[in-house]
Amino acid sequence: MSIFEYNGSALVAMVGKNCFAIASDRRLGVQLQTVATDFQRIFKIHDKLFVGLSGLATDAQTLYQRLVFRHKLYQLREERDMKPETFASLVSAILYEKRFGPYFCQPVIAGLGDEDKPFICTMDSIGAKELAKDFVVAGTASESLYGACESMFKPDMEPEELFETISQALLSSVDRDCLSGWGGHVYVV
Amino acid sequence: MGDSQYSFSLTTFSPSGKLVQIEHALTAVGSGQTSLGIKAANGVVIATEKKLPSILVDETSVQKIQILTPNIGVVYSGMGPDSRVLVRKSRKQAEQYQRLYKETIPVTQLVRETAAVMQEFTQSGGVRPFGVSLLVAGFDDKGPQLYQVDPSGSYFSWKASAMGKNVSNAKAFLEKRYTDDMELDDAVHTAILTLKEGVLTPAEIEDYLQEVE
Repeated sequence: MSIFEYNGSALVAMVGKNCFAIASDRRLGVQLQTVATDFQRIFKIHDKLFVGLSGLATDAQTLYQRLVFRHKLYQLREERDMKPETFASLVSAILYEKRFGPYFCQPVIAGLGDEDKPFICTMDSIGAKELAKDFVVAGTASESLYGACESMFKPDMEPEELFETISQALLSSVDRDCLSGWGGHVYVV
Repeated sequence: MGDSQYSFSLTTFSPSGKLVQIEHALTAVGSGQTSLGIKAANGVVIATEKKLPSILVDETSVQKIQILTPNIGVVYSGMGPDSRVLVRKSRKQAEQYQRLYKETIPVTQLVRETAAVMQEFTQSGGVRPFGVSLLVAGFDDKGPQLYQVDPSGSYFSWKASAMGKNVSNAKAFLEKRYTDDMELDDAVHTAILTLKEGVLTPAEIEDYLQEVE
C-alpha cells in the first residue's frame, strides 16, 4: 500500500459566484481499520483562506502547524492577511524545501482574493502547483471525485447551490472508496 | 562576520549611554555629499549631488542612485563602498522575498530588513557600523513612500528629508517648500532648487532646470 493511502482521505474544492467551497471526508484510518470518524483535514488560515491537507495524517498536521506559524509571522510583519495566491506560493516553497524527503501530503488551497475573487489550487507533495478555474480534488478518492465533479459542476453557482453540489460530489465519490468516508466537513465562504 | 579572535563587538557603550561608534558613523554621513528625497502625491523623488574628484573621472561609471527592485530606489550619503554592500544585500533580500511569495516586496519590509542588517553590524564581532545613511524611495500598494535608514539601524518615514552636508539648510528649505499635494514634476523642481542651496553652481542649476522643462 502506498504511503499516501495509509490514512485515507478525500478533499475537494469548488469555485462559485464570488464564493468558494471546500470539503473533506471525516475518516481517519490505519490501513484497513477505521480509527476516528471526526478527523479534521480542512483548516482555516484566515477568514478568507482555507487549506485542506490530504495524505498522511501526521504530515498533514505538522505541515498545518508550520503554515499557521508562517502566516502568523507574516500577519505581524506586514500587518495584513496573506492573499491566497501568495499563500499557495509559500506552501509550494515549503514543500519543495523537502524535495528529497517530502511531506506525504497533497494540499488543496481555497480562498477569496482581491475583490472577493475565488481562488483554488492544489499541488503535489513536492509543490507543483495546479491552478484551476472550476474545481480541484485530492486524496485516495480523487479519481471518483474527478468524475463526480466533472459531471455535477456548473460555473457561477450561488453559495447554497454550491454547497449542495460539492456535498453530493464528495459523498458519492467516497462511497466508491473504502479508505475515505464517514461523512463530510463542508466550508462555504 | 569577524573571525574567532574578534568575537567581541567593537561598538561598545560609553558611560553616558551612547554608542560612540555610531555617533562617529553619523559624522561620516554628515560630511558626505548632500542627498535628499521628496514624497509627492503620485511618486517619490530622490536626488543627490554628483561631485567627482577630478574632470578626468568617467562620470558615466559613477552611479549614486541605485535600484533595489523595479519599484524601489535608493540614494546614500557617506561612504560609497559601504552603500554598495548594502545595496547588494538589499537586492538579494528583495529577490528572496519574491522567490518565496511570488510577489514584489513591500517597501516597508525591505526597509526593515536593510535596517536589520545595519543594526547587526553594530552588535557583531569584529565589524564596524556602516558609514552611510540611505534614503529609500519606493512605490507599492500603499502608495509612494520615503524612508531614511541610519547607521544605527533605525529608520524613519519622511515626507521630505535631506542628509549629508548642508543638511540644516536643505531641510529648512524643504520645510518651507513642501506641500502635501505636490505633483511629481513639482517635486523634481523643488529637489533641484534645494540642492542649489549651497551645492550646485548657478550654471549647473540652469542646465538642470532646462532639462526638466
